[in-house]
Amino acid sequence: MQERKTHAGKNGLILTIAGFVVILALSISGSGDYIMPISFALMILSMVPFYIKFEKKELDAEEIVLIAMISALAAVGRVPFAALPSIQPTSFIIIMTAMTFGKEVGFLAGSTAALVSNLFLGQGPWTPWQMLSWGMMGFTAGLLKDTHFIKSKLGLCFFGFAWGFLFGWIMNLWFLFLFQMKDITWKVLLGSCIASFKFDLNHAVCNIIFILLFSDRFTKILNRTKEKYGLLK
Amino acid sequence: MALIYIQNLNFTYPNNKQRALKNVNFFVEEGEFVVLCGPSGCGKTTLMSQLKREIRPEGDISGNIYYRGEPINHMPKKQAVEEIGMVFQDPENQIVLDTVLHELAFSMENMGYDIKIMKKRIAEMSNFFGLEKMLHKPVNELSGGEKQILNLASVLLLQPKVLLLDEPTSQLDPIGAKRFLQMVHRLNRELSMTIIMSEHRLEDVFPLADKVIFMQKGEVKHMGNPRSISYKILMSGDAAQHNYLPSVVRMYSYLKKDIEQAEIPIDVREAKTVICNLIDKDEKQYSENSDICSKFSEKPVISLKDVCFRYDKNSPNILDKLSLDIYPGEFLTILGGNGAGKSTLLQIIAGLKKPQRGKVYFKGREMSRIKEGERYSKIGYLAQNPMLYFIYETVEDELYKRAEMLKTRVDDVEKLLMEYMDLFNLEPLLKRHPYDLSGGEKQRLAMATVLLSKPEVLLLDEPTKGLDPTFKINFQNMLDKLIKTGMTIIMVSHDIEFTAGNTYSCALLFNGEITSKDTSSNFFSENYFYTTSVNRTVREKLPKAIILEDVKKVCRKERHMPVKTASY
Amino acid sequence: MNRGFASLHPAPCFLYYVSLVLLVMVIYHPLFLLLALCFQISLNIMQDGGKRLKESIKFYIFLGLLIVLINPFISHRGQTILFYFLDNPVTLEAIIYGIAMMMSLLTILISFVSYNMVITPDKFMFLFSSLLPKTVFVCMMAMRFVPVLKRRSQDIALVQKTRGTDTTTGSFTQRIKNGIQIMIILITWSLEEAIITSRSMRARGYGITKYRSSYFDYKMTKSDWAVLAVIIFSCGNLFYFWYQSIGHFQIYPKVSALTLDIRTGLFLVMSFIYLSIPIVIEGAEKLRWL
Repeated sequence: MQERKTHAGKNGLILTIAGFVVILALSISGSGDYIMPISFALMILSMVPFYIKFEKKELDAEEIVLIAMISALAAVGRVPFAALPSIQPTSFIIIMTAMTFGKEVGFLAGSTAALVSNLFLGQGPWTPWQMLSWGMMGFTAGLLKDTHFIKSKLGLCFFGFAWGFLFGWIMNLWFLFLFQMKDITWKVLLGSCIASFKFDLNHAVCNIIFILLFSDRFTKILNRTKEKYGLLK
Repeated sequence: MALIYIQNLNFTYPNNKQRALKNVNFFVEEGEFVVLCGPSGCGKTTLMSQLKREIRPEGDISGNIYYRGEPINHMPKKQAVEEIGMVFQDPENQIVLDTVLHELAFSMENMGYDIKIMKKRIAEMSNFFGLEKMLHKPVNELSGGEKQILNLASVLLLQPKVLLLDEPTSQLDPIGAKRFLQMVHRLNRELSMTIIMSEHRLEDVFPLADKVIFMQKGEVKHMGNPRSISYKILMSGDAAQHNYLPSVVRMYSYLKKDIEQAEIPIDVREAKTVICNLIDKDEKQYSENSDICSKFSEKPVISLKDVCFRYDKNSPNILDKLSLDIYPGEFLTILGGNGAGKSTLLQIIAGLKKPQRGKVYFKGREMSRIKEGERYSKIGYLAQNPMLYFIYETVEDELYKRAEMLKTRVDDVEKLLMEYMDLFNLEPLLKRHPYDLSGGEKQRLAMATVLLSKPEVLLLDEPTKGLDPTFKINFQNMLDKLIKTGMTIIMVSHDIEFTAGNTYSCALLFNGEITSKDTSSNFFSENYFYTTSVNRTVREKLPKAIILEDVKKVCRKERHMPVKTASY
Repeated sequence: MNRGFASLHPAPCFLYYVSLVLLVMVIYHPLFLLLALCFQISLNIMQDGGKRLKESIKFYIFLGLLIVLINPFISHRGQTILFYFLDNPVTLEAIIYGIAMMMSLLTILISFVSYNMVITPDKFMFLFSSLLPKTVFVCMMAMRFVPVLKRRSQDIALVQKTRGTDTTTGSFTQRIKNGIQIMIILITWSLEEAIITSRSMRARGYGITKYRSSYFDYKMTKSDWAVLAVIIFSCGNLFYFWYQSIGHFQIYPKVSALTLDIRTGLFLVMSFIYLSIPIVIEGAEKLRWL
C-alpha cells in the first residue's frame, strides 16, 4: 500500500500528544472541571484525521480485505492461547503489520481490531480509548519502520516493551477520568501506574516474547501475502 | 448472433512457458446451459475468468472474446459487472459481510442502487430462494449448501444475463449440491438465463446441459450436446477421458456392441430402458458372503461401546449410545447426512475428543489410558482440510521435519519417508510452498505426513471432496496399497460413487447411532435412494451390482474397445 | 431483541445514551444521580430481566465502593474535617464527593449494559455508515471474519494436537511456541483464503462506482421523531440548567444544603422527564401486551 504525502497521520499524532499534555496540565493544576468532556473530545478528534484520509483513499478490494482480515486476526489473536491466560498477541500483530504495510494500515488495523472486539464483547466508555491506543501503537510502529532503531531486534523489543506500558497508562487515564479528575494529582497518576504495573509488565514482556519467537516468520508471511495480493506494484 | 463468441483464445500466465489456454474456440447461445469439464488444471477456471473481466488474471492473451457481437473489453464497466455474474467454488470465502441481509445487498451497494430498488429486489429474491427466515442471521450459522445459495442469490440480485459457475457444488454434500443444481436449472428454464458451469462430476449436471465442453491441458478436446460428446469421448479411446462420463454412459458403452449416438442414456431414467434390454441375465444371487464378521475372525482393533457425546451441557446428544466394532484390515466407510456427527465420531475414534459416556477401545485397551503420543501415532487422523497440517514453507520441510520429530518413535522413518514420497509422487513438489499446491497435491502431502508415524489405523475425513476423477482413481490405488500392508482404514464420506467402488464395508450414522453396518454391496443394494446410479439402473435385474465392475463381472463384454489404461 | 426502547430508530437511542453519560458526568445533584441510577437499573430489568446486569454487577459495585472508600483518603479538599487519618484530614466533602462519583460511575457502567442490548453492532454500523462508509465496511468484513477465525483456530488446535503441538501441556515456553505454531497456520491460511474473498468482491463490482450506496433498513417513523424531540428538548434544558448552575449541588469547598426553590423544582421535573424516557417506552410496550 503506497503512502501518499499527506499530513493526516502527523496531525493525528500531534493532536493526540497535545491532548494528553493539555489533560495532564489541567489535571495537575487542579482546575479540571471540564476535563472529562475535553479529554473525550480531544481523543475523538485525534482519530479524525486518520479516518478522513482513509475515507478519501481509493482502495482495491485486496487492500480492504487485507485490513479487515488482519484486524480480525488481531482481535481473535488470543484464541490459540486460550490455555495461557496471560499471553496476548494482539499488540504484536498490530506492530508487525505496521512494520510491513506502513503507518496508515497500522493505525487502521489497530483501531479496527479494538472496535471489532468491543462490538463482540460489548462496548463501554473504554472503547474509544482502546481504539486510540492500539491505533497509535500501529501508527508509531509504521512511522519508525524504516529507522535503524526498529529494524534491529533489540530496538523492536524495546519498542514493544515500551508500548506495553504506554498502552496500560493510556487505559489508566480513561479510568481516572471517570474519577472526574478534580483530585488527580501526579501522586494519583503515579499510584495508578503502580497499581497496573503487573498487567503492563505482562503486556510488555508478552510483546518481547512474540517479537523474539515470531517476528521473522511473521514478516515472511506478510511479505508473501504482499506479493500474492499484488500489493508490491 | 451468439451471445458469447470466443475466437482463437490463447492465454499464458506470467513466468510460465506453457499456455494455460490453447486456441480455444466456441460460442454460447442465449439461454444455453453449458458445462465445462475436464481434469483439474485443464484451464476451466482460467477460461471462465477470461469471461469475467474484473477478475481476469494478468498474463499474455491473444484472440478475441465477443459479447453480443462486441469485443468484451468494450463493454462499459458497470454493464460487465451486472450482466455477467459469477459464483466461485468455495462457499465460505466468497462471503464478504457478516449477515445474510448485508451480504445480499453487497453487490447492489457496489452498483450504487437506490435503497428502494434494493429492498424490492431482496424481497423478491428471498421469496424465490426461501431466504426470509435467515435474513438477519449471521452468515457463519449457515450450512455450506445455504452459503452457496446465498452467494448465488447475491449475484443474481444484479439481474445477470450470463451466470458463470466455477465448480459450485464441489464443496457441498449431495443434498446441498442437488438443491443448488435445481436452483440453477430453474434459472435456466424459467428465466432463460445463460449458464456456463464447470464441473468434474457430470452425473448430476449431464441431464441439465445443452452443451458440454471437454477440456484437457488448456485445449478444447470435445464439444457437443451430452449425447454427442459422450459418443466422441467413447470413440476417442482415452480411458482417462472416460472417467469423466457419468456411469450410466460408461455402462451403456460397455454393454452395447455398436454404440449409437441417439441411444446413449444421459440419466437413470433413460438408462433403465436402454440398459435393461442389454442385460440378458437375471442374476439375483451372485453375492459373496454377507456376514461381515466371518471374514475377520480376529478381535476388533477399534471398539466403541455405548458412546454418547454432545458439545455442551444443554445441547442434544450428537452420538447416542453408539456401538461399533472395526476389525484389523477392514476398510470401513461411514456415511450419513449433513451434521449427523460423522466427523465428531471420527475425532472420538482418533482419541481427540472424549465421549461423555461409553468407552472406546484400541486393541482392547481403553483409549483414554493410552498416552497421547502413542495414541496419535498409532491412529492417524487426516482432517477434511489438509491446510490444517502445514506449518513450514516448503513441502520438503513439511516432510523431513516431521520425520525428524518421529525419529525416536518410529525406527525406520527415513525408509518410510522415501516409500511414501514415491507412493504419493511428492518428489517433484519438494521445493514448493505447501499453499501453492493443488487440492489433490495438498491432500497427498498431508496424508504422507500423517502416515509417517506408522499408524495401524488411518482415519480419513472426506478425502475426495472437490477432487477430480483422475485423482480419485490414483487415490484408490494408494489406499489399496495401504490396505495390503494390513492397515485398517475408516473413512467418512459423502461420495457414494467412490465409496461403493472401494471400501469393504459401509455403515450409516443416523440419529446418533450406527443403524446398519454391512459389506458395501449389501449396504447399497438394500438402499433405495442412498445408492449409486449403476445400482438404481440395473437393480431389477442385478440387485447386487453397485458399480460398473459388478456389471462387468456378470456380463462378459463381447465387443472390444481400444482402451488405454489410465495414466498418472 | 427488538422490543420497547430497542425498537426505536438507533439515532434517538444513541443520542440518549451519549447525552446520559455526559449529563451524569457534569451534574452532581444527588437526586438526579440517584434517579438516573435507579432508572437505569430498572431499564435493565425491564429489558432482559437483569440477566446481563447480573454478570457484571458485582464488579461494578466493587469499583463503586472502592471509589467511596479511597476518595476521602486521597482528596483532602473541603472544609468540614471529620477526623484525621495518618495526619491527613478526612473531610465530609470528600466522602460526599466519593458517593456522587460512585453513583455517576455506576450509572455510566450500567447504562452501557443496556446500551449494548439496544445498539446492536448492526445499528452501530448504521449510525456511522453515512459518516464513515469505508471504515464501517471494513468493520463489517472484520466482524464476518471473527467467527470464521475462531472456528479455524479450534480446528487447527485439534489437528495439531495429534502432532504434539499442544498449548495445554509441557513447559511454559513450549506451550507458547506451540501456540505460535497454531497462530502461524491460522494467519497463513486465512490470508491466503482471503484472496478468494477479494476476487469475489471484484466479481460483484466492488470499486466500480465511486460511491457505494448502503442498505440499512432503519427508517424514522413519527414516533421516532416524537421521542427524538422529547430527548432533545429535555436534555437540552438540562444542559442549559447546568450551564446556568440551576440545580447545582455544591460540594467543594463546603458542602451546601439541598434546597428546593422553583428553579430547582423545574430542574428536577425536567430530570425526571429526561431520565424516565426509556422506562416509559418500555412500560408502554409491556402494558400493551398485558
